[in-house]
Amino acid sequence: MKVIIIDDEHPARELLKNFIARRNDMELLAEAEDGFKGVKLTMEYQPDVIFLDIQMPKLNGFEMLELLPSHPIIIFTTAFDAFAIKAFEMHAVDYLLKPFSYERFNLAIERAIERNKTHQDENQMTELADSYLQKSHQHLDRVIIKKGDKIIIIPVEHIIYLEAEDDYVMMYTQEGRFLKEKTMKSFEDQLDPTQFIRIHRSFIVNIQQIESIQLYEKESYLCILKTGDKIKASKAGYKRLKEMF
Amino acid sequence: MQHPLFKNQKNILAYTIVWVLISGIHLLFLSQISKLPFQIAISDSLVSNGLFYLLSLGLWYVLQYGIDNRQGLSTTIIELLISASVFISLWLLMIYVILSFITNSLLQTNVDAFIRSSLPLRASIGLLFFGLIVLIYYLIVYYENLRQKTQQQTELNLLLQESRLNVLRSQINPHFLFNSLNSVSSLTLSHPEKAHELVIKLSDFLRYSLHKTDEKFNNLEQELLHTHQYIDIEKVRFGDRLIIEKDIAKETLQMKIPVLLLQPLLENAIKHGVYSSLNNVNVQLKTSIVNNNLVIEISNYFEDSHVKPPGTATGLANIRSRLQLIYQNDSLMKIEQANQLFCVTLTIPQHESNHH
Repeated sequence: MKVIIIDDEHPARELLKNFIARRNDMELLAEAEDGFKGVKLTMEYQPDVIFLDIQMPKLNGFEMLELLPSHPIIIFTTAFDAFAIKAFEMHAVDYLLKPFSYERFNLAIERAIERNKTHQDENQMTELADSYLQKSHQHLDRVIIKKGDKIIIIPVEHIIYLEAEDDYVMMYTQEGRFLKEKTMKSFEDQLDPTQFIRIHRSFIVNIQQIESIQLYEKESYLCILKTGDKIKASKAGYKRLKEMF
Repeated sequence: MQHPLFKNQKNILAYTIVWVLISGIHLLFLSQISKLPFQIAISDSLVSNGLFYLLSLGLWYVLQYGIDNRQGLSTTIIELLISASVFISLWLLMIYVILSFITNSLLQTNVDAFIRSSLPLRASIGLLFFGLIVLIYYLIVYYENLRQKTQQQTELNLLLQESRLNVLRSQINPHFLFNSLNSVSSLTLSHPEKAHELVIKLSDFLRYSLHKTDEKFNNLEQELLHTHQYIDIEKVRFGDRLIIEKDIAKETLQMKIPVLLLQPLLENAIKHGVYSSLNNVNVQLKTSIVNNNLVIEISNYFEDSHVKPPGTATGLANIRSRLQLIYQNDSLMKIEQANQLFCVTLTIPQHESNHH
């Protein structure tokens, strides 16, 4: 199996390299010390397995995964993160708690080989990130976008509104428009509900951006934003908005 | 407060025994000294003391709810005297009515004259007993207060210990500890000498963190040493990325600082720097004396203002509340953030807090 390592700490990478070298069925393709390089290497080498640290500079492990078009088998390596462990356990992705033994490492590899044969469900990764946020009682505070070779980090405060576009969501932000492969439901669940309201089947709005609300037709309203944009609000969405003020 | 006699059976038994003894003395006095017939003497003793026994049970409530001790001594004394006269008049009236009924109708003897002539003596003895009961009441109240105070003190001490424990818990960040252990495990395979060194550093660091929590203050030199141990361990993890610049004024080394304050601050700065940037992490540590106070500045560059490494906000809040607890002053920690420079300034007063 072909492997890459993504971890910001040098000794942690060295240990994994040592363990990988002991097995003759594994080949280390490359290693990265941050998520940006990790994305690049994964696209370039198409590994079977990634050893991935969660806490890393700038991009964390989950955010890095969001940027990958397809997911190899992921084995998370983390030092101490009670929330992460809960999230992993629910979604049956393997994880190595640092420090770990060679035996435990081997077990993870056996599981990876098993998984490699059966092909894993790709949706698991987004579910995992969702459940991680939920378990840690945090809200999404930024969104990672990949545009060509560039990776853009957008703080959620910069979001003006979101519009559903089939399987994607169009994000209107202070930095411009971006298409993100994610569902409206997932955004609705992860964003802070006191700041972002789903006012329509197709729209989530940042309440800081609302200028005024007008009656549009019977049973439907028009939300006028500070930017001048006008977006539709359903009856239920209008009710949700009214509860906020 | 609950009625002390009803709290347990022992108390009510003791109270009863005391009154039986008093009745015995009363009986002896009437039959031997006053030479009254036995039947009359025993009726008198039982009626008088039985009535006092029952009436004084209710006295507790009068003292607890009827008399307000907060109004000053003279008011309390007047209230007590009024209660005493009402109590004793009631008692004497009841003795008179019941005793003359018993003697007249059951024993066919008239002792009304005797009762009337003995009223002043009865009143004085009643007053004496009344005084004794009041005295015992205030003793019990005093004892109860004392007990409650001791209990509160114990609870307070427990709380203090608990908060110390929490300080300790927040000191040693598990993420740091397990990552360091992971570094050790890696080095044992590749560089055993370095692994050995790291284990020693980690042990020294942990020893200081564990033992120093009993003490409140240490000098800056010791705290700096502990901080350097921490930095050395972090350098193994982050390698050349981590650059610490120090500017320590020599005359500050012997100044006092609350224990385990500096290292968490540096840990915060390093975390903030490491997780917000891919490049080198620059952390500056500067100490100086301003108005006889020890001033410590810790600053770090950060690249991305939207990266909030977990725990940094609570770390700073912890330090602020510790300074507030020790010096009763919440302006000792200042946080400034400008031009990608994050700076925390601490002012540590050198005269020990007047409040402890």
